[in-house]
Amino acid sequence: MENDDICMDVFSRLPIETLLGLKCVCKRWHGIVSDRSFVQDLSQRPEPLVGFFFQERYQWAGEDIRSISFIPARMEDTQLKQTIFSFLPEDVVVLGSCNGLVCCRSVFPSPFPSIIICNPSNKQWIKLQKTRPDKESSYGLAFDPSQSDGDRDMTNFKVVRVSQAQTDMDDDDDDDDDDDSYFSFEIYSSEAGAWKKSKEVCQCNDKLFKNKGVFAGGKLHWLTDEDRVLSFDVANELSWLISSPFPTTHFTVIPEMCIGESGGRLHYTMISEDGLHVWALEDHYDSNWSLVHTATLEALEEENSQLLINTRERVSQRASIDSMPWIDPLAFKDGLLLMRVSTKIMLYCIETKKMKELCKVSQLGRNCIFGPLVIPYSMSLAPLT
Amino acid sequence: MITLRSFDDETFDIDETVAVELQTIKHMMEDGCAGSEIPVPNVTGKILAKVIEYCKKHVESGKAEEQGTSDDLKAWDADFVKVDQATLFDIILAANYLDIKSLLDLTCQTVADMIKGKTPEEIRRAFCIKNDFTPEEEEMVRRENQWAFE
Repeated sequence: MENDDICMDVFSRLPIETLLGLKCVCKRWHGIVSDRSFVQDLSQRPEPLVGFFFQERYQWAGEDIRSISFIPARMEDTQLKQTIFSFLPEDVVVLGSCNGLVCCRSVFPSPFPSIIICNPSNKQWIKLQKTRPDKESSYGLAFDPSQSDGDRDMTNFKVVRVSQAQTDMDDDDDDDDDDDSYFSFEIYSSEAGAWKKSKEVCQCNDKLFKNKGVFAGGKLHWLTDEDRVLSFDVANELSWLISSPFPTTHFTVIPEMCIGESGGRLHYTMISEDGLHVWALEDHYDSNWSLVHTATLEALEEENSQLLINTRERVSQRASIDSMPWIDPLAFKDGLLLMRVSTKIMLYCIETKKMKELCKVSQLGRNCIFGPLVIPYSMSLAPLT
Repeated sequence: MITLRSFDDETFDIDETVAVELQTIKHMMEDGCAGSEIPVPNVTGKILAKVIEYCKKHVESGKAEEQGTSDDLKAWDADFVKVDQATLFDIILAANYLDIKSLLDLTCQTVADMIKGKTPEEIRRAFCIKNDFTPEEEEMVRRENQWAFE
């Protein structure tokens, strides 16, 4: 194995978890796997989902909960991890993840609160310069390794901060239909090492819900509490609202939604008394969704009879928005839907229609039913230092 | 017919249809530098024989139209790479020099499959690699790269 090119050919066929192990074999192999060109070439291949970060939130209190669990997608090989972020200098709240990088902010209260971009695969991290994070804004991380313009040595990414404010009201303007709130955007560029306020604003009274930005097709997306999607084109600084693929007022029982990226496109998942529906966004500008998967609750039960019983009855029992839904879609990525079904966390594959139990909710903490932060993760060797 | 002469002066007569599988040879033929014999200085007769065997088999299978050939060919490929490690690496180098993409893919994938699932120590033993880390260095590298340790 003397030839470095051949080593790189062989190594490029291995999963990142294996590559990390190869760094321990000898100094030469350590050098090959760390080589910036190798890492850059490797980043062009799609990485499989390895699992989900899961961080609890209190239902009513504003405080942050410090512990973060990692739920591996392949539970048969491994178990829940609790110390994935122990390499960071402080406790953090996870804000989002994109192509192997994770965006987090310091847990409050903190003497010097910051936003940290890290790579849990290689345990590298950097703090965003000149940044004071706040709890109200929503964040999104945009990292596209295929955009390798410029410096091969640098890992270039952008962070978008979305804030909501009230428009100044004119005294004689009492038209109730006008949105009196709007979203504004700031963009941090790793190349510039600074924030820039975008001129773009988006009139909207909705609040951002579930708070985590999904990066798909060059745009960041956030779900709103009116079931719409706020979309922001990072390169061109354009925003708009995408309407829900299905009128949610149609349902007797309040449905639950989540958005995620699969195959480069934004997907919208909904669980209701009518079952599971998954749409893919065909056209951003026209809010054009296409239904890519649907399964009634009965069909889900039939395929997965050991895991689901009396599903329709239990889903329909949800009385109000404040009571917990029986099935809650938590995160979606690459055709895999992570959901809570009663007291279990399940992973559903839309292609095979099979569900498997990953863990019990009790293993994740006492507060994990109330709107937790759940973020899909795939690995990357992208360097940050 | 084309004649290839190995490093150790073994000669092999191969059909033109097989010769073009070896991209390096193909380019030499196209550029008109191929005389009556083409020397292959980097490859021994033993390895060249294996490479030619591979190319012949794949050219023959390419001509066959039956459905079953794809699985049969895969099984043949799997048997083909059941050789000792030294031979496997020599075949890789030959496939690289002679620019035979499918053979390079097959052999590199075979090595990748040999690596997958092994611990660093098992890999060192399998490939006779010396551990040149000091115990302290090794501990540090292990900790840095132990994804999601508990």
